[in-house]
Amino acid sequence: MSVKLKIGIDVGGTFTDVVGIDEFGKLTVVKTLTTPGDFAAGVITGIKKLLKHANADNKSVDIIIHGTTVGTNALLERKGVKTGLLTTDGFRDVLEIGRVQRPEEGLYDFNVDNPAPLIPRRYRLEAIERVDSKGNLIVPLDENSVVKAAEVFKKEGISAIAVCFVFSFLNPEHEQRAKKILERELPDTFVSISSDIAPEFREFERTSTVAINSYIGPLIDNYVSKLEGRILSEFPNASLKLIQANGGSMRASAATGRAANLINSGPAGGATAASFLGRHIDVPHIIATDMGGTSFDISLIEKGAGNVTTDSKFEGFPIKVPMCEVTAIGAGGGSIAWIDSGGALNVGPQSAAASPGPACYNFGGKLPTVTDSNLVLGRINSNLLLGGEIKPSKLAAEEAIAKVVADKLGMTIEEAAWSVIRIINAKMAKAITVRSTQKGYDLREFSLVPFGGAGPLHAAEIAAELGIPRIIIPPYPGAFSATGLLIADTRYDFVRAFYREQAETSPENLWGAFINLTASAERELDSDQVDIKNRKILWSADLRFEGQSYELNIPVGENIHKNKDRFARSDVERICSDFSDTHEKIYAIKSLAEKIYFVNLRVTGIGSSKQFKPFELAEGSPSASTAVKEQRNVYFGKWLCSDIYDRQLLKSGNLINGPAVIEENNSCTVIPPACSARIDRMGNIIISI
Amino acid sequence: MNYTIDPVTMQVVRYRLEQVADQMGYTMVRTSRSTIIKEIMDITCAIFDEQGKTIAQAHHAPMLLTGFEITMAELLKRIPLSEWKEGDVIISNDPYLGGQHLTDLQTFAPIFYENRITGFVGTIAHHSDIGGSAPGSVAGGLTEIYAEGLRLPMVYLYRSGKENPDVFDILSANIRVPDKTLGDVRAQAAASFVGIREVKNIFEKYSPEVVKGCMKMLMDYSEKRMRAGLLKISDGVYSGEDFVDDDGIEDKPIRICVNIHKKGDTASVNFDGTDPQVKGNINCPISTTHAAVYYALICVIDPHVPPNSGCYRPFTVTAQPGTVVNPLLPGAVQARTNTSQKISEATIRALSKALPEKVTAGSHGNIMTCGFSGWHPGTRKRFVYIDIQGGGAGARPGKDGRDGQDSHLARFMNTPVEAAELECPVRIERYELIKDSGGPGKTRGALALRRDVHCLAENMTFSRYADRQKFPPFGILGGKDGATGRFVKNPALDNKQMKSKGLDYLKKDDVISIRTPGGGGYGSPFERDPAFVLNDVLDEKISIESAEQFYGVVIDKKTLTVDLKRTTDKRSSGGTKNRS
Repeated sequence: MSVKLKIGIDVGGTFTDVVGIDEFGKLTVVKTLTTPGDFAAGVITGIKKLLKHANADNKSVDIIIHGTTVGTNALLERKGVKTGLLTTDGFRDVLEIGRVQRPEEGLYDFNVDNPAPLIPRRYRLEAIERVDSKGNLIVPLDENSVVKAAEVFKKEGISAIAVCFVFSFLNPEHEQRAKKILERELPDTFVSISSDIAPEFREFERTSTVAINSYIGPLIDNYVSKLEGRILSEFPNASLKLIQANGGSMRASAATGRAANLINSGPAGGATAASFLGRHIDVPHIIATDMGGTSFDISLIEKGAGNVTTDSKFEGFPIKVPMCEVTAIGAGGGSIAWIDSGGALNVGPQSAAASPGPACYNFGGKLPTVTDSNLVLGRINSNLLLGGEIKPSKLAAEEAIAKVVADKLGMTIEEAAWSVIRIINAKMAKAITVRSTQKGYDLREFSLVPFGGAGPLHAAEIAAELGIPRIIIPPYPGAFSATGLLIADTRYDFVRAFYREQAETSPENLWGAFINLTASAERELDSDQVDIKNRKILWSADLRFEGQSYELNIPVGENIHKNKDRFARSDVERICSDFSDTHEKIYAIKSLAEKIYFVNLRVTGIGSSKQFKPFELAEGSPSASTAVKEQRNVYFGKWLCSDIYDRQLLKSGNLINGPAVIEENNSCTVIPPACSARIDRMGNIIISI
Repeated sequence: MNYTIDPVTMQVVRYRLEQVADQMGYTMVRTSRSTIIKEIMDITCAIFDEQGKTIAQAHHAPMLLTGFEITMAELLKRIPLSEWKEGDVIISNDPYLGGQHLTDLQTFAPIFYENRITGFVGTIAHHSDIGGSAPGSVAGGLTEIYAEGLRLPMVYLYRSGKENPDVFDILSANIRVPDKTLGDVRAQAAASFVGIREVKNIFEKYSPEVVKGCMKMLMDYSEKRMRAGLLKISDGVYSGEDFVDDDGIEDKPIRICVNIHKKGDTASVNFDGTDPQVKGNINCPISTTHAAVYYALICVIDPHVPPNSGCYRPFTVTAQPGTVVNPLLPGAVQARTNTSQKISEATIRALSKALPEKVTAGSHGNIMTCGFSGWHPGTRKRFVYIDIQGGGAGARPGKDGRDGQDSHLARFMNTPVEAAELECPVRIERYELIKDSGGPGKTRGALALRRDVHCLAENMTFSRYADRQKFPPFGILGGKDGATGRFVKNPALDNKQMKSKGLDYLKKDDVISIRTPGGGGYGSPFERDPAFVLNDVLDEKISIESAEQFYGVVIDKKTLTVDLKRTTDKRSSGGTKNRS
């Protein structure tokens, strides 16, 4: 009898990580090269490789959860389809004007710009219509103006259209009619409207979101339908799901209408895996960091759950769809060290990436990188870089560091390399504080979960810098993001504007609005065939004090729609007092007996993923001496003779004192002096600072 | 862990302090009540050492960078270190005590660590209304500071952590929308307290000695970078001028002249040739003047230097009292923004002679500030809707100007159409780029913006100040000027141009069309790639007629392609005209 496999596939820039789990909780991890140009080929290859390792056949593939960067890359590289925009008369430039503010980096620099609009002015057309701030249709939609726009779109060869009318979040009627007309006139053209994609206040942010949705929508459609076809022909029992930026999965066919949800979905798997890990070892507050070759992604998990925000920007483009709050900076193993005009040492954000690569790869890179510095300092084993597939040159690393850094600063090579590490660590630490301390979190209550190839190398110093007391390094840190896909829940988010003051909010209206959104969420879960008993319906509301422009999202409850009692006045009061308390916690200001407004209502439909038991490591003694494979000098401000461990040989209960390095394929963990680590029953390395 | 004062710790401390300043700004934006703070973000925050020297600032408006320092000097003269108590917050808006203009309320609070003052945090925010003769306190044409609003010298907003009710009462009695403004003032206080808490954490972690050592090192570092930048400029005197259209009283241009005497790794800047103080409220207080000069110097010499007090050390800036760049009481100053923009532009123009590849052409060079006020017909509540506009930025050596962007000095956002309409009885009928408003050049000046505001209430007031309606944004190195800005009343009916600075009453259904200036061009438009010109025509950013007239590019109206032969003929036959 064949087993049933659930497979997570994370397509990265260089490698595609594939992780499979069977009904008994047996985990298989493989890696294959990403195949740019035809990502599906790498996906199929990866699954086949996994089946071979797991001794399973094609029929055993049950669910495939896929993290794709097709949408993200199309946006990054500006390779979306030729898109047109239809707006209210007088507002076609909103997309280009944006919020007029130059980027932060351009405070004094005339040459720093916001990204150019995805849709050039010539493809931005206007329809005659107007809705006012109460949702009244004060200028009726002139259907002829829409038909005329359709003619221009057709002539220009537009393949996708975004529609955003002023105040459509209060009354979507005009947008919906415009969509019907466009679809009638241009049956082969992809159309999305802002009241479907992001029905929230602020016209620029909403236009930006729907523009992105249309810009990548047809590509996603095309990719998903082809991939699904190939998967079904190879693996007849498989169903394909995609991971969204909100950390939940959706069935592949739902992606058509929700393309924007895939933007920046890359880091979502890691964030999901980190919350799962935290729940299993009873660590509620986590800073999860993914450090690869070029970027450092940070997500914050509070009380076992990652924060999902609707206030995100990606590469300068606002995206008003729920997204795991992930902060990314340019810092990774490939980050390049350089001396500025004032003689100060800087590291990054430029990265040598995989090509030309760090100096030690000998791929042609001549500039010193973080990886070169780690190599010179004995922190990484030259035999294990890139899975042992290349032989790095320590000499080349030393030469690059000497020439670019050490000679200019009058330092020894190891002092220079150590300075590079300290600066990159400081940058990563700063990025973490922006994401945490700045939002009112106290890092002393958090644990750091570092993953990605380079994460565990830098974690201890970063944690020490920030006062984070504990680090948890999961097994297979290189494939941690793909593991997260396996445990991601199914998730569908819905929002509607609900603008009224506390006193004017009738419990019946509030209940009714939530129930309507709930029906939409249930329909999606039906389509995904989520079992009724695995469903969760979460209600929440965005509130603010009168006059404020920014809301706080306040949870209202779980599965409330099943309650026999509908809302009473006291429920409205409870939601508002929860808001007051949260406001004080974050902004240090007490409620001043001010009026509170509801702004948006949100409903999230969740299909809980089947939980599997984390695997357990064999029990061992405190002594880990059998796992020591060698001793070598490692630099921690001075050279120290350090034990080097093989992670494969570690057992639950082992204790390791720094200075030490724990090595495994594609990653290694540095334990500085005065720190100690123990191995828990799940195989995590727990470092105390 | 023990930290030492070294270049690495310096960078770490710098990042932490910058982050604290940004966190203060974030707190203010999220908790404030007026669109000018929460949407437009006309604010900033900074951290000072105990001598009042700027160590770190938020990424908001550089306008306030050096300005703050002058205010701090005044503050420490008035309240010596020995008199401060923990939890004190001082508030002031007095342009004659180092302030900006009356609508900019500044707060200062000491950071106590181990019972000693180790520094200060400062915040500044532009408020919707500070009283005075015009709703929104933004009318042009006023002649004394006393008419401009409530002037607060340096007074205690909080004493030892407790609100000073007297000041809140005085404020409340003198301003038009106290419910909003007092919430905004409290947001400034909250930002200060958050800043103090965070700076203390840094002291706790690194020890006061190390932090102070790093601060000193950081300032020395910035100084060194600015000196290195100055050394790349040949010694000599560089002068640049610009004009403010008028002062809103007399129809007479006002000359701004900036002279940079550069020698070795230092420079002294004076304003010889600048006009005396004027009657109208375009006089620019000294702290704003300093900010305008230093902003331009940093932009051109080293835009990525850590912006702190060390940057100013290689420079001396002298402004004669009684001139428009250093007015005396009772000079009115509310519209000083538009003068400070000219000071920056004149400084950039002066530097264009030394570093032509580092400057831009003239930009919209003003912040068109509009205040609409009245009573909301639905709620009968008083409202003040302050809106400021982006405009056309100047063309850059390798790039076109940024169409419809914010201004020099300030870094601000617009008010979303939906935010304005949800809060105030107005309807925005158009918000768009203006075709042909960018100055022609090898790189094009940016397009200007148009925003049409339809009044939905009776008896609204429209107060405003703007500039560059007579003197257009200048082109450089052969580039042409950008379009001037204007205010037009009822564009679909009588299409009447209004004064750039003034206060008018409006009727229900009047429409005010705000048209900002466009940026100047850089280099000869005849050198612009015809493909770029065609692109602009296809995007309706320039007309086919402008393509031919200014760029010498002939475009076939039917095929919409470049007629290369006629273009070559046209371009070889001679120069271009400036726009009329």
